[in-house]
Amino acid sequence: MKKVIALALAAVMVLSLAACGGSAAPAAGSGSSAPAAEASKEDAAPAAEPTGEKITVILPAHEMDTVGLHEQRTRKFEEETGIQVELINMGWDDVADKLTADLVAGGNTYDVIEFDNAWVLKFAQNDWLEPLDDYVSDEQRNGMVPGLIDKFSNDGHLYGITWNNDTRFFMYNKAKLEAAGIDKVPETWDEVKAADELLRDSGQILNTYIDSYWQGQSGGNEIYWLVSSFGGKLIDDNGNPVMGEDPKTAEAYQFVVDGLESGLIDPASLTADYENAANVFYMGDTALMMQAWPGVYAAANDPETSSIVDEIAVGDSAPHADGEDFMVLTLPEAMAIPKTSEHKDAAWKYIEYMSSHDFDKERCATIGSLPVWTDLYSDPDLLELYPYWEQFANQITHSKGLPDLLWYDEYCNILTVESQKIFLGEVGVEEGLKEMQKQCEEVQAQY
Amino acid sequence: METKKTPKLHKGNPSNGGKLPVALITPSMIIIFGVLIFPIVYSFILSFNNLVIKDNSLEWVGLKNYIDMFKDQTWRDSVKQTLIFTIISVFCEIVFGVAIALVLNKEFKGRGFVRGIMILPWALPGVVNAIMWKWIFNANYGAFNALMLQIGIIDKYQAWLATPRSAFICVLVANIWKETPYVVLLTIAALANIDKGLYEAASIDGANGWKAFWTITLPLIKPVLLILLITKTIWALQTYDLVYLMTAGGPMGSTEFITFLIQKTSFKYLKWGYGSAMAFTLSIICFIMTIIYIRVFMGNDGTKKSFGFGKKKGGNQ
Amino acid sequence: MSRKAKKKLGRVVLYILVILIVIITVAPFAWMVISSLSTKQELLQRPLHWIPQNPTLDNYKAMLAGTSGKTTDAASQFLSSFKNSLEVTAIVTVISLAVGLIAAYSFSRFRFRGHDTLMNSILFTQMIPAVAIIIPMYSILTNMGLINTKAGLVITYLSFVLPYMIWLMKGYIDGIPIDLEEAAMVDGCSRLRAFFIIVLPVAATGLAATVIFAFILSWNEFFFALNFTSTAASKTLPVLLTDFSSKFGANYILACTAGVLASLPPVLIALIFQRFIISGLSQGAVKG
Repeated sequence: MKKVIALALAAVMVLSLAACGGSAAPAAGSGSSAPAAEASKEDAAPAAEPTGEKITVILPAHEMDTVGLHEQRTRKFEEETGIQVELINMGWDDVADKLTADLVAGGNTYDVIEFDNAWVLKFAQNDWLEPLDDYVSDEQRNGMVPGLIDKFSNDGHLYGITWNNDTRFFMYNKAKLEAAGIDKVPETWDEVKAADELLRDSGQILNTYIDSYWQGQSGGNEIYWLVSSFGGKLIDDNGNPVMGEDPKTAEAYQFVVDGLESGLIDPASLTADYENAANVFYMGDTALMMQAWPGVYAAANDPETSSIVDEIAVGDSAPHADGEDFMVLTLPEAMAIPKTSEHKDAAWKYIEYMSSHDFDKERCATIGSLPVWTDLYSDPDLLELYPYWEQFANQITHSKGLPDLLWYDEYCNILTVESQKIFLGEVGVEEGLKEMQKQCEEVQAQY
Repeated sequence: METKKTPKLHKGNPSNGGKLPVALITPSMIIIFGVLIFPIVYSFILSFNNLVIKDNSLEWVGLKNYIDMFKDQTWRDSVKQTLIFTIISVFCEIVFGVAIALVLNKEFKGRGFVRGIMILPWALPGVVNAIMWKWIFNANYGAFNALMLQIGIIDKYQAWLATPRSAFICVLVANIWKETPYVVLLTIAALANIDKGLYEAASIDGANGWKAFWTITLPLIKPVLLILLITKTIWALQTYDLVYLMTAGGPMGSTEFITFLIQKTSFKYLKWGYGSAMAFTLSIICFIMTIIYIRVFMGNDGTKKSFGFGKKKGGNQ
Repeated sequence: MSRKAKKKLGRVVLYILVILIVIITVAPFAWMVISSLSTKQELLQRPLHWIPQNPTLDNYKAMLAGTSGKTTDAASQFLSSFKNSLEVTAIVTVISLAVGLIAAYSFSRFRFRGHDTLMNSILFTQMIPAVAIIIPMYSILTNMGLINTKAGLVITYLSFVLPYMIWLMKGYIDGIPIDLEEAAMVDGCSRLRAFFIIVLPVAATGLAATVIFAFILSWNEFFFALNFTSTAASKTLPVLLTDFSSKFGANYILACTAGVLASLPPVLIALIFQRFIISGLSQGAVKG
């Protein structure tokens, strides 16, 4: 157990380094070594009188929350505070567009909004959000995973409190690997290639893995992960596009081109969103899931959704090129308050309530999400419940966020479109990456 | 051969109705222009500006947005794809639609039932249509793959939405399947107004089948077909839900139609001025295509302004 | 080939064509229905089971009875969205029919100043894509307090349903010979009476088609609804349909189930009005 704690603490450090990108956030707690904050301030009086205040909250549905936990908690909040809550859960893309319309038009429809990790610079630059510095308590600042606090900070101001710590992990189908005579879990891409031959020869699977390389937000995530696993870079530390000059990036692309050709990678990857990709893994048609979110573990063991019950395991690391360090993605989502909100105090009360230490633990225990509070990574109750968190802890130390770019959406579009051209053999790897860099530079020049 | 003027109750007295005609159209005009005039004017002005999001102000840039468009490869590709999609879609919808309407206009058992069924695709919400076809063309478990495999056309499942050309065709299929029945329905309604006596007369003159179609049916359903052409073109040019849900514009941006590109430019990249310029260019494309239809379809004889629905029955004999 | 054999062959060809048309029209929808009755496990099989071996009504139960203890997930909001859609659509259809019909009649029967300009410009408004006007529209609705209300949607929908209605109905009224009306008016009928007893019955076929048209156009509208409504009290079905997805992608089975249910009202309306179309047809088919 000590090991787990140590690793979790290391995770905390790495997260805080990785997530910063260009903009340093001095507000980040330096006290990350004092995590065990007591956050239970549940002194709320039961059944408060209705205050007549009403807030509107818009968040995507939590992918693991199949039992309506967030809603129950929200209703409890209503009871205890007397503040009415209109809770809106929609798909992520829809939430993004609705928010943009409201924020650009200067509407005041929403009081608590989704704040995605890829939006930080955009939202901060456009001055859309209320800084939370005056609201947040030291307890929260110091008790929550510092990387998460940093990720949602800009220019020394904190704008969001994480509600979904979405970090990805490498998972594999243990039963299939064993049946194919593979006793060592593939760690490097060469080992993946070797395993691929054995796996497909054994006739159990059609392809070794499927990933989401489609023209959408998730395509940008997965390509970024892939390139990083080869030690390559798309965007350098100063936020400049460098994909056209980096031989390791080219190596990563060559791997996908070859993999699609040989059948290692499912060609459906080019149209698959995460749900599609996960389904193929659940049905046992692939053996590896490169970047699985925590909920995959439970879904893969649910006979209603999966044919691979009791077959999967979590890796100690994730595939990477020989000699490179491995990495996993972290894509947290936060709650924030728009500047236009007319109920900022009530909105903050809600955020505070929904991100409390108590509820975070309850959420982890009930739906298996990852903690937002640092000390919960070493919580004995949770570790007993989720033994595979030991592997999670190994991987989470290597987690890294997306590049911080003001022009992230345009970057993501160029990245996915031009990557698909390379994957489909429309252009050569070198040529395609040069073109990608050229386009990125053109866009960057506009900002 | 054709009466070109709009029918009038009393010939030669254009202002016959007194204030009545204007009174009748007033409620509609108030609703339509009341809702749309400000947004349209605003968006037109916006197309010559950059919207500065931070303080919600406009920054005049003149024609820059329009000029940028011509240098923008993504925009040019998008226009090309949208036009190809529109032309193929509208052509197939009209041809299939009229053909099916003619078949369903014959006497056969269960005619009412079959006509009822035709409404199904059209009545299906566009969102459902997109999700349904995406599911059918699913690369790993889709029904289309299963079917093709079972009848032996493919030997393993294909990722139909993963290559530009086949994805484009899939989107076309989904659109044509949904939109054709509307043509069928309106054509059937138009056919109902044709006096059967005309066919009998033509039959005595020896004009049957094909010839009767060209000389009697087509001229008489022309007004409805023109409306169909125009509305179908406007809709096809503005196709959004389908690609938003079915392909997200991919692969390689091959199904990134204009409205989807505008949506991304505005909502994702926050370039509202540029998006507006694109939108007005799309309107101009719409407008030009409409004019072309009217010229080609109705003949270039005084129908330039009013689109000429004034043909009376039997006027074609 | 004898005349009789030719005729018989014609019938055979006709029936083959009809069957083909029916299959192509129904098959994709049928697959959606089958998907909605299947379990996920079974739907993701290779080879595919065309007929589910363990059909289930659970998905429909979730839509119609709600899921226990939840109100914010898509399935439990199905009924309220259904109701919202019905209300918005019914109001839009009725208003646009009433208001549009008199306008179409006026455009068809009279010439007045600005006649052509107005006709053309209402069509032109429809050539401007919705995405271009979404932000100014949003601002207006916000200022009027109509965001997340059905009234806001009704107003918006009327602005794009009406132009099409006017154009379509004008087309049908144009096709009605003027002589009938003139004769009636010579006989002492008022214009209003002539309109009701001559124009309306003859145009009924066309009007039925336009009613279906207006209904479906507003029932299926997605983009405005997506941007203008998000609360359970205002959200319409097409918006809800995209909610059957997590952050990661759509749940096809639930989306199919909701899709099947969502297509029922327009299909029913269409079937009801279909009778008008057929009766209109049979009128025309009276042998002289």
